[in-house]
Amino acid sequence: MRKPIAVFLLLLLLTPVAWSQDGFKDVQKQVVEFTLKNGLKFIVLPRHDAPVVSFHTYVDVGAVNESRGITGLAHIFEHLAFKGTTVIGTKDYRKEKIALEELDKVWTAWREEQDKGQRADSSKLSRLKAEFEKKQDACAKLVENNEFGQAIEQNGGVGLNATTGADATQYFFSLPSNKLELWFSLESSRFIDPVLRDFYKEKDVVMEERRLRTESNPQGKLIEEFLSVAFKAHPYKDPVVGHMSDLQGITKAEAAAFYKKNYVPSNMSIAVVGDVKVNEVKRLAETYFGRIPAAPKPEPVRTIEPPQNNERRVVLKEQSQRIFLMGFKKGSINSPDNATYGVISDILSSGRTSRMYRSLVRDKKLAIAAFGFSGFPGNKYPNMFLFFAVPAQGKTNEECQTAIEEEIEKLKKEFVSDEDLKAVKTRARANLIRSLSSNPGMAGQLNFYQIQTGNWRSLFSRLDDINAVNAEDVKRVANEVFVNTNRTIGMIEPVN
Amino acid sequence: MKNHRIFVLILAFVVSSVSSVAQVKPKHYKQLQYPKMRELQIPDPTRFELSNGMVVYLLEDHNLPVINGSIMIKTGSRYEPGDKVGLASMTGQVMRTGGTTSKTGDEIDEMLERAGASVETFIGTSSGGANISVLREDIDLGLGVLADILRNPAFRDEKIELAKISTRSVISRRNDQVGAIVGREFTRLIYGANHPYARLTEYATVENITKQDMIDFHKKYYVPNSMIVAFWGDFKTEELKSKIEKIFSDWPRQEVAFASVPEPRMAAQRSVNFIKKDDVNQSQIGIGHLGGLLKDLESSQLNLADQAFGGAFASRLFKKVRSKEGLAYSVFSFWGESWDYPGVFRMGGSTKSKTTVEMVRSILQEFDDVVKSGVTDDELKFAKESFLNSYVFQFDTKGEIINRLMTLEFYGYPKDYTQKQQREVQAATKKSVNEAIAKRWNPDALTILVVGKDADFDEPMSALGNVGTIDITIPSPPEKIPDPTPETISKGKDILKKTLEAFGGAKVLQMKDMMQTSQNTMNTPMGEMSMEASMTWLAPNKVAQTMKTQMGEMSSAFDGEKGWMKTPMGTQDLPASQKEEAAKQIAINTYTVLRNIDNTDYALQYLKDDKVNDKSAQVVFIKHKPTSTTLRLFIDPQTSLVVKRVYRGRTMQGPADTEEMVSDYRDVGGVKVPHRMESFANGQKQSQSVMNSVKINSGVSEDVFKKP
Repeated sequence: MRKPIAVFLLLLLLTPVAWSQDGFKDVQKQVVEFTLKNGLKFIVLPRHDAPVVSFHTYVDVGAVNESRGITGLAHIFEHLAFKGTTVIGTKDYRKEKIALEELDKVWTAWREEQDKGQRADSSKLSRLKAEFEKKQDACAKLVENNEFGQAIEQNGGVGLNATTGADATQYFFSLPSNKLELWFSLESSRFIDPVLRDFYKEKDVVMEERRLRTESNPQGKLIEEFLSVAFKAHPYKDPVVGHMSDLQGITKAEAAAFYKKNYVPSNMSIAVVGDVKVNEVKRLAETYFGRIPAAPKPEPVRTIEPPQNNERRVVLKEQSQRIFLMGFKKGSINSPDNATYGVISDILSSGRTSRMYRSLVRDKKLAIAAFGFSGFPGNKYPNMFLFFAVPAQGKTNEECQTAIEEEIEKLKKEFVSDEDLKAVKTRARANLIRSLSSNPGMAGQLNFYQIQTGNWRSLFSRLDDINAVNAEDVKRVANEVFVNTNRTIGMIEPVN
Repeated sequence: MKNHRIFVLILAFVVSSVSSVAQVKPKHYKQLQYPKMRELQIPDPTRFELSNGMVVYLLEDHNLPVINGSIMIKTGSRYEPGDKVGLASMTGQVMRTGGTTSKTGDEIDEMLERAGASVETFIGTSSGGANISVLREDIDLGLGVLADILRNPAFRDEKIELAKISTRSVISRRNDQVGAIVGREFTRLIYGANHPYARLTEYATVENITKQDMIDFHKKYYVPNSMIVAFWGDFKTEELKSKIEKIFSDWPRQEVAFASVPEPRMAAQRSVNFIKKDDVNQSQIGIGHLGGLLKDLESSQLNLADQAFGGAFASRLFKKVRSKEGLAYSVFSFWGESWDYPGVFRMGGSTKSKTTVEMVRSILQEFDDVVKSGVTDDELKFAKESFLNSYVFQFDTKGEIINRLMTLEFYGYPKDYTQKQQREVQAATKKSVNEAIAKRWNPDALTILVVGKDADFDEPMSALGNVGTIDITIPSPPEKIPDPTPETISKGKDILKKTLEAFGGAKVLQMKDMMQTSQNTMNTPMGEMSMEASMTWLAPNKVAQTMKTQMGEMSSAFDGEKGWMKTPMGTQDLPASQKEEAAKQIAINTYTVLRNIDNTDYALQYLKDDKVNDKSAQVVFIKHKPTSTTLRLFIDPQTSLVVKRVYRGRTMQGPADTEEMVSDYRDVGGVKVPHRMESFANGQKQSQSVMNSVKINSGVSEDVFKKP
């Protein structure tokens, strides 16, 4: 009697759980969410395949939340968040605190003199510079360099990094699951008790990043110029990395104020995916993140980009081959047409059967790559549907533009076939299934949809939205969005 | 009453759980104690071999209704001929896009993409491969397409053309991004510019590739006994096994002869190299030397050393150069290892123009230090712990587990290689790591490369040593030379024979040696430079040169095999690229050509009538087949003397199409010798040379060519 039961149980363990049409529902049932008293949201998806866990902290602050004079600050703060706390990254915080205050004073005096421009006293400038460098060296002696990152790497952390975009700042890495508490300890401390040490040096590092990605990179330059022309009121116009003079001028006080306002529990979401017990995560969340005082969610950006009534255009002459961009203003991720934007993007850009590949690459041989996609440079606020082409050798930007316009006209005049729509929907389902396989990928997606749409379930429900899109929606949205007066064109023309 | 008791129980539970929460206090990370890690359960994939030698790995994973696969095939760009660079990569691409004997590529695209599936093929440096991903229900579709592509590719012309357009466009764009330039050119410096692991696809090599080449390349290497196939995902092993057997078993086994690839060698000495890029304000830096193999004895030790030195956020270079000095956003070291050939060891990063030399020095200093003094206890502890603690991430997905096993078997590594690595890391000591560093990291063999705007540098590059300038101008597509006909060949010969007579006929054929001294003027980036020079030639192919410059005397010699150069800094062997260049220049020297009109190593043909300085000229095209060097001679039909030579030569900026104007012919011992030469490249005058004295058959000694 007992044996068959044991065998049965064993079979139950070994027989794979069949993936039904309800597979997405099953995954959603496994997700547990809870909110701490201070308003901090946690989304947990336990998965026990391997003893690893991925963490993702999504802060609802990006370059859009900066103001004139402090562009680049969201990104600078992301760098500073790796510098440690009053008890991590320091040899003696009491001494360091005094040294840092002295350093700031000299820097402020130095900057005041610099602000005099032509009338600045050059001997005073060089004296202050020397004094600044001396004080900076004194501070450096009190720093335990990169202790924060070292603690993560030494404990087996992988994929350690952070990103800042127009909409958001994200911090992430993965750990062996027995080190769960390490993440809680480090991640909570860096947002409760950050010390903005190495501030001036880290600004130098960020300036190097700007030179790397923008100033010494023709395509980076194009994107910066393109956005500055496409938007005139909304902060999507400003580069995430910041303008060079702002990077030079930003003060530590400004960075501290930015942190204080935006790094509050109501403005953050945390996702944990992997080999964890939900109760354990809850307990540690209370213990470590419960310490953060509640604070109101910062005000949203209220600036609305006015309607665009004329085509805009920017042409860069660079030591580079041609690149073509064409962007049309459209609604945000929360627009009722969001799923239709996605469908149009798939029809135009997904794979070798996509319309842009077939026209520009395969048949007309004008480009080696051509896409159209939604959500540039962000998703949270009304943004752009961007067309992008890399002209083939000897082909021009204008030829690519004409070919793209032909595809746009087709979308505006003809209905998409049922067969094409069906293929889009099949691919959307397959892609969603594939995306579920990665712990860090899932953590990022759950947070993205939580913050951007107010509910992580949109990650799954958007599939229903896509399934509901019909040929008329596609035609209507194409006619509303792809209007020439609503577009901005950007291109690189070679200098020679 | 009953309810009340339950309520109390619940209350007690809630209270106790709340108080247990309250008891936990936040801890500093150093105070944390971790539970023991759960035992790592590494599933063992099923492995079997088909009768034709194809090896198959299968691993079930039922989390998601997806099946993935990957394939490795013994082939690679290292086996393609040097004049068809790009063949392997294009074959890998067109195998898929060009369709099969029964279906066009477009039909395959349609079938796969409507099912949200993908099958892609590619060929890299040392292996070929394929990836497949399908929803569970589409496995027959995916497997069918995969087998058809691997076995029956059709290489349709229109997709070959598409691949060529794409390849040529990529060539045209290869200097647009400064980061791409440093990566590519650094690799070429380490292996040698024309080595199979570094050579570039050029317009000329793309032109040479035909459909037949692709068919042959595929036929030669795509055999089942060269392949390993791995699938993981939502299938039943027995079912998939029989599907695979059914679809691949009748593919006959065939032996493949693999050509040997020259063994890359470590540089004998330090070199400093520069590439000019005037539109940037940040320099890209590469410093390093030849790397190693994953199976090297010291591999684990060197990976620890690299992690401590520059491979992590908390590494020495990152702390020193990024965090402490604020010099760079990107700074790193990468101990490069490959499976079956030496990788590239590269340190580097990027910094603003005005701290370029400072950053190079800073990296060199750190490297010298680590080689001299080794890593510290703390650094080693950090490197060991980060390896051992993150070890689990090498096994956290089924895809990783099965792909690793496949790769290990493919390159002939033991199955437990990763476990062995773990044991070696556990056992590593400061002594073992530092001994490995001392043995394998060599500050004297470093190649240094900087790409940037030198006008804005903090110090001239020469502060780092003798600077070699690399020209990255993309060679123009080859001019179409019409196919020779018997008429153009004989006309070409007739013209050259008349020219030989005009130069002195038998006297030219009897020349044993020649010595020239000249006054040379060169246009350099620093302005015009004038110097005395001498040149000695000994038949048939030995040449020696001496230049007297402000920096001192510089001489060099090449005897057809060996070569050397001597500068005030010392004497060294000529690098392979310079020997090759010398051999080419001798092969297309006017006298060499005239002495070899009937030699079958030379192909020649009359090209066309043209004009030089408004006077008509006949153009003869000459190709020296062994070195693939070409020359165009412009000959005055009146005098039969050469008035212009066009060839690919070296300039101050590197190789470029050079036009050499030749004039002022004088008689030396019965031989006509031009006394004035001016050369032009890229539309600019490069140099001129005016003879002071010329001697022929004065009895040159072999000693001139011996290394001093």
